[in-house]
Amino acid sequence: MTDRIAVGMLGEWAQRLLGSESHGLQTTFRRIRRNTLSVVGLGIVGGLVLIALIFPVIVPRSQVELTHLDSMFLPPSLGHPFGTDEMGRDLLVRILWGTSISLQIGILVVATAMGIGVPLGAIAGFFGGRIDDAIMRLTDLFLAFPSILLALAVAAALGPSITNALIAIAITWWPWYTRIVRGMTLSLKEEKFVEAARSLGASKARLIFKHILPNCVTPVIVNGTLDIGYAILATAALGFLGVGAQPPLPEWGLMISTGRLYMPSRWWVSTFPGLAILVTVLGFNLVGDAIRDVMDPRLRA
Amino acid sequence: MTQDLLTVEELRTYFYTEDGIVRAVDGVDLQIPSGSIVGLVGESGSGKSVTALSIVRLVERPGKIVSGRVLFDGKDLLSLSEDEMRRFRGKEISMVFQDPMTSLNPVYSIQDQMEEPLLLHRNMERRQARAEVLEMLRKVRIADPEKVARLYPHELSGGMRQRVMIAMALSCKPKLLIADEPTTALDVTLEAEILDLMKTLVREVGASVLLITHDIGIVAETCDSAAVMYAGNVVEFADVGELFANPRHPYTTALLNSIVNPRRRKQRLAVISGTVPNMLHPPEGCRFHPRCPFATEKCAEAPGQLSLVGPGHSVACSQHSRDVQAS
Repeated sequence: MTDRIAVGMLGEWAQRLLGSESHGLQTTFRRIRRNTLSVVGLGIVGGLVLIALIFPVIVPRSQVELTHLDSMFLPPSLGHPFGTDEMGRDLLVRILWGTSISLQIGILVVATAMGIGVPLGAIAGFFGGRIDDAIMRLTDLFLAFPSILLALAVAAALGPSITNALIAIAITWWPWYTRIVRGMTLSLKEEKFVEAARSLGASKARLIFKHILPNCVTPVIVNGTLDIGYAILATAALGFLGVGAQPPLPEWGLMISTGRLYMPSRWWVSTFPGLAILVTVLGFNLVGDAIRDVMDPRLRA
Repeated sequence: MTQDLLTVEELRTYFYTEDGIVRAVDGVDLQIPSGSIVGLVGESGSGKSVTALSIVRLVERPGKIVSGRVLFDGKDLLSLSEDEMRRFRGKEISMVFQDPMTSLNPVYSIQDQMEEPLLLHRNMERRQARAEVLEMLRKVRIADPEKVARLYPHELSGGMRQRVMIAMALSCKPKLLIADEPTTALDVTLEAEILDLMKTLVREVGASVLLITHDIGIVAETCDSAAVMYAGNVVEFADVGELFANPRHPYTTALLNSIVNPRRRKQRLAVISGTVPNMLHPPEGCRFHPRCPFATEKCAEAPGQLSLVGPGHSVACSQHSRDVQAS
């Protein structure tokens, strides 16, 4: 039944984005095209997704990790547009490969944080009382943890790895979603259509998941999209500190970190991964804004 | 004599607020026979909506059904567990609410929303449900049902939305439909249509209706019998013809007098002096007595009990109980 609800919800939103009788696909695209920044954002993210999907298929992991000691520290040139790093590996190839890592982590972090935070928020808002208090105190507790410190702790306990970094970041992020969803639930549960649904025999679970949550989706998706960018940033930060991705993984933060030692003479080793992060976060920010514009009141007649 | 479909006995629903206890429904009795339309008339704040919500047990904190019995088909609804009650809602008893603008979930299409009770209560397959939805839309006289089914609530007009709500409420063929001011938010031309539609459909399905309204005109048009509520009590109950011909309770009389007669020019508008009581501190005895032109000291002491003054006609007024006793 959960799959049905999930598919149903996605279907509904797909229908809204792709158009119903009165709002065709063309209207949606027209609205997006009107805003150049949105197009830029979509282009960036679209490009990133393509790279993330295709690159690991074309270029096997070994290529990215093999060392070529004869071509160390080559500056940017036609043969190596981003130069080579301290192990002689082509930087452009590594960065492009790293896109898939960063995107996967970013999406997984946000998905996990949502998966924990959203239902908790709905339950807290709907039931109120002691359940609400308990969940809110839990939220406060986790909000108090700085993600980097927690990641360091997790790394110390479980060993540094990108998976552990993922867990550490997700643990500190879910409370934001809980807050958003709880706030919306509190007002939504007073809505007439919730009362009407209840009068038709809907159970509490049905009311929460089928009636209230779908109405909370907009801010959750907007925040989620923006968060993917920030999650990638956080992962990079942890990689930079050495508690996230470990060599020889071509993770951008890690690459900046190792390249630090060779600044400023071999500037390209740190700079290009840094630019990659910048472009990625920018792209997701713009897309998040675009989604907010498309999904909110303007689509309502 | 066949048993009534719904019998409400001494229903009391109180709201425990920070400012005190609001006795919104304070000893309400109602009888709704099968296949009949019963009106519940009263001003805002008289407790009509709370009565309706109490019947289906949708009253939320700080409200609480304190005492009484709600016998539906012989079963006391107030004694059921929440799970058992939920099976009644939508299937045996369903409701239509006042504001069609907000009664539908904005993120689902009409089709999806109308399917929900069908899938829930009648255990239909998706395809069956889709067909049934179209059939229901046709029954409520919506043109082009295939198109409307795929629309979202904000794309429909108020009248259409109310029709959808009625269709949804009747979709599982309930025995009782509670309509809480179903036409208050609609304009007058729509009102007539919707009421007519409700009457037709309800006869078809064989259901009874509890029609809650503040508009006596609607009661005259649509109902078989009616109860008049004031400040949490039913003050008069009779068949509609009898109620309009022989109103006994001073409040009922005053209500009927306040209807403007378009044929009589230069008419001074009749007014009921005073205002609706503060439900935190209602008047002692009969709650209407401060505004009643016939009040005596006795009225301030004890509230009137509903007593029979004619066949199927009961009044809660100490003056009239005396009449019956005298005769």
